[in-house]
Amino acid sequence: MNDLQASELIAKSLSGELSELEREELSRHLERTPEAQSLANLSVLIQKTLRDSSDVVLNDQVNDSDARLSSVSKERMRRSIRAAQRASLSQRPASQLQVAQTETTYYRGSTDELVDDSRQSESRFTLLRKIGQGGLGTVWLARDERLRRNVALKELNSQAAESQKLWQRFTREAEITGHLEHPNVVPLYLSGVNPETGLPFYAMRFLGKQTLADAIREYHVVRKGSADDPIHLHRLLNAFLDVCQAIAFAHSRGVIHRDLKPENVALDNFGQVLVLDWGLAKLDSDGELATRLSLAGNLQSDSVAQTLDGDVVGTPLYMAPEQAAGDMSQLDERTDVYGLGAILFAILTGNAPHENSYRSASGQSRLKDVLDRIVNSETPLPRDSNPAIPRDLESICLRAMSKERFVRHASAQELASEVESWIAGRHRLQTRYEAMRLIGRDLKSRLCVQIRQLAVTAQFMVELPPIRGLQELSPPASPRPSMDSDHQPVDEECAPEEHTPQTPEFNLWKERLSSVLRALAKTNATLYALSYSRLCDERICELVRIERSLHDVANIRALPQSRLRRSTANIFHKTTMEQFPGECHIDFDLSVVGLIRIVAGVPVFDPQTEEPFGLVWAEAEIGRLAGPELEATQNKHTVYLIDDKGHVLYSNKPSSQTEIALADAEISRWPEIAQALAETGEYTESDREYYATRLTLPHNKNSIRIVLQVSS
Amino acid sequence: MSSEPSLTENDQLAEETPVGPEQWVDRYGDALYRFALARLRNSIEAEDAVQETFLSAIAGQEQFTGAGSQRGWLLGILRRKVIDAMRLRSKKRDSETVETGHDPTALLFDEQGRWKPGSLPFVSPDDRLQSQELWQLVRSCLQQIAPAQADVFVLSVIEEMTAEQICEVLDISLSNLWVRLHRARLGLAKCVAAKWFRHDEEVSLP
Repeated sequence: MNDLQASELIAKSLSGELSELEREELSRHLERTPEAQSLANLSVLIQKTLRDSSDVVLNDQVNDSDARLSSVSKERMRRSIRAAQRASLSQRPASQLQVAQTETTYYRGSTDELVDDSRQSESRFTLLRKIGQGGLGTVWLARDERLRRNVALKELNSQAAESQKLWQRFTREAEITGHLEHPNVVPLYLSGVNPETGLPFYAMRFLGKQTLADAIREYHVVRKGSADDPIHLHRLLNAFLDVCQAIAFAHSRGVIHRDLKPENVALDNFGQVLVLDWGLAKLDSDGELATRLSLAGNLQSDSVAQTLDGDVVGTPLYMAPEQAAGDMSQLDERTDVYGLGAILFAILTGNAPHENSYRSASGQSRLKDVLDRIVNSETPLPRDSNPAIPRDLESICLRAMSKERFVRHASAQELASEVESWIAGRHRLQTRYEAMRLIGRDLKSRLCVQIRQLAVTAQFMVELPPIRGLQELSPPASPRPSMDSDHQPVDEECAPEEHTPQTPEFNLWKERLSSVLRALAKTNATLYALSYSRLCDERICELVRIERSLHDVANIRALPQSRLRRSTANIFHKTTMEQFPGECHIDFDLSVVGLIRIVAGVPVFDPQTEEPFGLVWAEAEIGRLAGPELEATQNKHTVYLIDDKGHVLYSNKPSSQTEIALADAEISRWPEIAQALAETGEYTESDREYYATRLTLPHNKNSIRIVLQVSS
Repeated sequence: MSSEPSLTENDQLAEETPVGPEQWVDRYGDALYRFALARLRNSIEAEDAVQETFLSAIAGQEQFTGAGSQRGWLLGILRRKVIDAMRLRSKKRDSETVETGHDPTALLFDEQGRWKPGSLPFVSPDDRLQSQELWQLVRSCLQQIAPAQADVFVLSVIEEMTAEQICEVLDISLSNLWVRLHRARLGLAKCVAAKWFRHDEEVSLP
């Protein structure tokens, strides 16, 4: 047990939760560690002090000025008690009773000195309930009795009222809000001073308690619950555009918000969006409002922008680097562009941009740590927290959040138009992507049918009588001399006559087989070649091969004896020979660049000895197999067909390569595509650039990965 | 939870005659406020809790049978309001998704979990530190440690709630509770020791 663990046990023991064993271990530790004894003694002392103090607290003799209610608070309580008593006496319905839980009225007082503000004499609000509390003021849901509507009423806190600076800030917030008349800036109805408490307040439109922060949270819970519907993101982005418009408007009036975050954006279910909380706003000295507002002159001092204690948790999470650096002279419209980018970040990821810095920072210097990190570390990448974010949307967000101000969008308007074009372009992209996906799926099913057809052709060939005829006339395989002899060159071609006796009867069967195979090739335009070969001693000797001309597809010819293949058997031949009778093996033939073929082979057995004799195979050029679907893509998409080893078997990209291309060289996102295909068999992406699917060949021996890319 | 706090003799005399709601603020306001403030450590929230206590008491006035003291009855309501406020705070902390637990272990222990030299002064078990001043000191230290830890500590030590009750109120796991309590105790011990001994030295200077 080390000291830290012992301290845990000490803490636990004070809540009486130790086992016998733990207790013994702890007392041994305490005997030899003075610090542990100190901790235990101090903790006991603290606990005892606190418990004993429960009585002291209730004792009215306590002489502690801050431990009493202020007279303002007492008066407020008395009033609300009277109101509640009235309410309970008048037997109002229960629902109204609850609403009337706190009742304060603003009215013209009997003392004449309070009548200096004529607006007060006409207004009358009933506070219904508290809806928000900040370091500066408290926001109430209130009833405007004259106009019979609900309003949000913000009142300066009594503690804050003692500070001249905060008082000014509150009044300026009201003035700025009142001057920004825009559909997305909260409209101010009335401002004034409550004659009863002497505290300033202002009444504004009440939209409900929901903020953009709630909507973002909701969206990401739904998204993670795998019910991701693009319409939700679309709604949030539309709200975001409204915020951009409000900020662009404020900038045009020389006001910079400086405290943009989702909590400061109110929303309702009918698409209304209001930007709130202009308490930290800065006035541009040349701006329109600066000359009109009474307090503007007093408040150019930037100390006002320092966050209040109560706001410390929220604000740095969305703060721009220049703000975190405390570089107040650098704050301008682009600081708000950063704030907007930070809101977009939150919409895309569900987290505030600096949330991770905040989490990992610790200690009393936490705020300082976070601010340091905002200044010094790289802008976080949205796709790190949510890889499904479209890349182009991410780059808009990252540009707005650039550390360098000159890289950011020059205005909120410009940021809005980029997001707007992204939304508009997305519909077009989506349609195009869906069409490409359909082509991909058609391509897969066509390839599947065609390859099966190829296999059926090979299986049909085995059953042809000339196959049997040629086999019966072939001389028995003579064992080759042993290979260890130096005199025997390994690559020596087998003599033609060794396997193909030039008898008239043998030639007649060859002729017959050629004409059947030619006829077969004519009926299926995708076939490139058909072949019948004998395999002896690991060497392949073609007996008959018919092949389609590359230049004239109608020209199908039987290859003359001199052109027939005689060579060492390759993997395809050997694997085919290992199959059971009638079973097909499918592979790719990459030997000729530009003419990559799919080959389907079936072994031929000697019916008497039941020993393998040779094989037949059918070849088809891979590009031709998928013909009509490839034509359908025209120039709109790039198609790649790729085998398991990453060789590009086919691509409709014009190229003059002399070697087989490799997928990782051709396709930038190949690693993630390959991984998705291995896991789920399909790859789609929110960027709407690539689509991929996979066709597995029989016995899982190999597969074709079909990748489509939207041409730019 | 603890039993009803004991009252001084004077209070008990005063308690014999329950008063009407219009006199509650004057008679009980300050005491209730101190009670709430000691637990919530935030004057605005404490004020709100007291006000809500009065309003709830008016709504449920019939429930006061007069069997106990009126102050005890109000305290009972206030205690529930205080716990409600803490529950709300805890929820709010969660919904802000910002972890608020400051960890004092790094200040006191090295990487191997050994005490850092001089991290705590030696304190003997004698009672020479006990005083009203110490209570003020502890209170100010409670303000300094992370609120999430202080809340758990207050519920456990002042309200004497069991671990299970606290977990239920704050909707946290048992292991989270022990971590917070441990950190709270370390943080408080460090803070009180630092302040007291500095204070001590100042006093003893000629």
